Amino acid sequence: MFIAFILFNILRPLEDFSTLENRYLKKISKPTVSEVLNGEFFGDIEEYTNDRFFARNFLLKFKSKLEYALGKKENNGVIICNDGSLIEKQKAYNEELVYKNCEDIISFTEKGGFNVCVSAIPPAFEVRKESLPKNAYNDNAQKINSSIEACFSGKNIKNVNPTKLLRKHSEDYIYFKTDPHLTSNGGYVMYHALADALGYTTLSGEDFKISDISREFLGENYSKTLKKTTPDILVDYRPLETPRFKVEFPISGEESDSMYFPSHLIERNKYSYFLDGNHPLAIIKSPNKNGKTIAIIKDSYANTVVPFIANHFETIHMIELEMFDGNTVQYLKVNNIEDVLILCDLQAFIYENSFEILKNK
Amino acid sequence: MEFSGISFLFYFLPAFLILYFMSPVKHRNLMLLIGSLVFYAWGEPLFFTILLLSAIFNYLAGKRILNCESKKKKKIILTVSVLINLLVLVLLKGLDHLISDKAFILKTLVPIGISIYTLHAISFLVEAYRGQICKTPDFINFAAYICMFPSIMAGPVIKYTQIERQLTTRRSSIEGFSMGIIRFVVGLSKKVLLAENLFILWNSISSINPLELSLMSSWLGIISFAMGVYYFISGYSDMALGLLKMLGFELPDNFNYPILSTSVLDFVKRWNISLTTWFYDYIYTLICKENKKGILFYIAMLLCCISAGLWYGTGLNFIAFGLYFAILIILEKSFTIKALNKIPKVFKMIYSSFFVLTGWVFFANDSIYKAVMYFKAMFGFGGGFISGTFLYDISSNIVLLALSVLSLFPFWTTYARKCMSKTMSYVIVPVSVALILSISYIVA
Repeated sequence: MFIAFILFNILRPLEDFSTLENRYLKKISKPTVSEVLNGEFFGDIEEYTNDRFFARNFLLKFKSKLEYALGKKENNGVIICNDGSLIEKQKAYNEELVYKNCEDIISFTEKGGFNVCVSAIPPAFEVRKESLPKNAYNDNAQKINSSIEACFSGKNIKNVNPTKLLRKHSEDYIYFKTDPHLTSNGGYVMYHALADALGYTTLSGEDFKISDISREFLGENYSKTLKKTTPDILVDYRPLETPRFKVEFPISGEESDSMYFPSHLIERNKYSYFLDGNHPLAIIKSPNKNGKTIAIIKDSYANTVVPFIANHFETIHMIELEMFDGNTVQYLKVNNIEDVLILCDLQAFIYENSFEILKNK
Repeated sequence: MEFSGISFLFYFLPAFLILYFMSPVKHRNLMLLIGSLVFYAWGEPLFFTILLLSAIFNYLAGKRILNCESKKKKKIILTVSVLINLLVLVLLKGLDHLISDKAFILKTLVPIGISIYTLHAISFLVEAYRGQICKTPDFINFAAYICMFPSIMAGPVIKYTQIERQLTTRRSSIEGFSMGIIRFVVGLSKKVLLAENLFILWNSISSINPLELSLMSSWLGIISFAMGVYYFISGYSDMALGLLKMLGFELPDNFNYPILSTSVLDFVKRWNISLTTWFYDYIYTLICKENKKGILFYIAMLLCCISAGLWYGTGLNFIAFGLYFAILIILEKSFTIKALNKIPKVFKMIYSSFFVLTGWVFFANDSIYKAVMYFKAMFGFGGGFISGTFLYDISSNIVLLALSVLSLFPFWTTYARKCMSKTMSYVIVPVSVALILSISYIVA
């Protein structure tokens, strides 16, 4: 019976994508000589056999349920809150890394002569701390923000800390409950937080048509915990005077006449509805001919914020922090861009080389 | 390949066992050798040649020693061959520690298992010199001993004389095979269910700045780490002994409930027994022939403990780890043991646990500076006595911690013995549950 099980495991048809975990499963490709010699190929096979194990989904759910039954309050770094929210635990504060990352931004600003505004989006862990289980909270996010403030003090960089404003609206469904990102409501609050620094007057809520786009979004934090919970609602804010935005993806050559991509609503990763997920480079052109251009150097946390900001600029160049492999400084100079917004997750400041692309290589 | 990997559990091991038991008894060592080489090459294709060369070199050296008439020549061959073994080990470990940017093809300069098979080889050479080996082994049997996959990953360290006779006379039985499976699953559960989760807790606590770490959190951290290391190494030992039992080998336990130790010396005798015995037999007795005090005892103890520390890892912190235990054992032998003999056992256990846990701080932190900062937190110079984080960590991990502490004691062994005398199903059911849980954790 055991041999039959092994044969079944080897011979059964295999999926490429796990909808439960929301990721592609490991594939084996032809290895290079060095990959064989250094053991990397065999490591890939280990991962492959793990990913393709029979009843993997059942075992993943079983493990999760067992852990919660035994009183565990977190899984894979995600905390299960009393109200059913899944909130990513705040990682340890690392002063050295925060200073290094800030130095990269300062160097970029001073050497390039750009007008830079930085806004680090705090995590739900900090903004919705009352939802956390007792004693789960730590103030590492505050320490990161304090260090960022100290680094940029006296420098020609606008630092916008939206934490206070977000906390005012913490009960307004500004973070997804199953995903670490901001909802459109949260994006709207961020839009307000950035108004003064970026020099625009915000549109009020009445200037938008707000509609539910999907009620079945289960995000990254659900994939990490597999904790049964109510799916999130994706909401769309469309300006009543609907301008037609054009989005270009220069690297792939694709184009779209909207910042929203409904094709992703039938997929597992519905968050890609906003701006089609992450692209190394994307350019938004609005019919608003005010001559204003800005570059937004971002990660995925900015995706629900940018559609609001786009109402106030003629052109927005979006450069993805972890994907763009060109020379950012050169790109900005060639395109005559002076105004830059760095809009990303606060955690980027405690990871190594988060702002590597700002270096003029 | 890992014992706790799907490719080992569901592909390599079943295939190997089928081929092993299908082959005639006289060819089983050859099958064990081939299986071990495949296992090793799977994880370390580049260093596979070093393993083979070690087997060939040490076989030839050992054979020379056994066949040599002159004691002086024997000594020379022994000294040279042991030095070459140690040189290769020290060179590779030392270079790996010093060079951070390895050559593009290599991630590490240290072949997996080199610490184990080098000790195996030296054991064979010394026992050959001492006249403890009955007859010259054939190459296949010897190579099977050096390369055997059950022990090559993390031990136990097997002396050649422990296994010499079993290489030719062992017989497998259904009962032995079943007991081997049970032992293997127990080891797998220790590693996957306990050790890995304890390390997650340790990583969470140790990521906090020690200046902000509360006293209670720091002790919870080091206790989690110590238990994690215990379950990791003893888990691997159980898996190795279980696999060897399936193949018909009988070897002694490698851990003897270190929690029950009544002194630091007693702890060392209960912890990774095969390694401690190796150092005692081949280093300690070389310097300090009888169990006496004095300068030779101090030198022998220092050398053994520091070598043992470096066996676990390279770095000043591992030297400090070994030195710490050496000093404590010397003090015990010289002064403390008399006082210890007068106090109740429970206080001796508390004394032993306190000093052993403190010693683990050197092992757990990758620099002396970090270890000192961690000590500060442990003794109240960090972030206060107790913190919300401590309460959260305790409440989130209460079942893991309770199970881990309970399993330190002979509770499960006593339970298993009682059950097996009644019916095997009382053992098979929990073992099967542990196996399914372990696979869930491996897959997840």
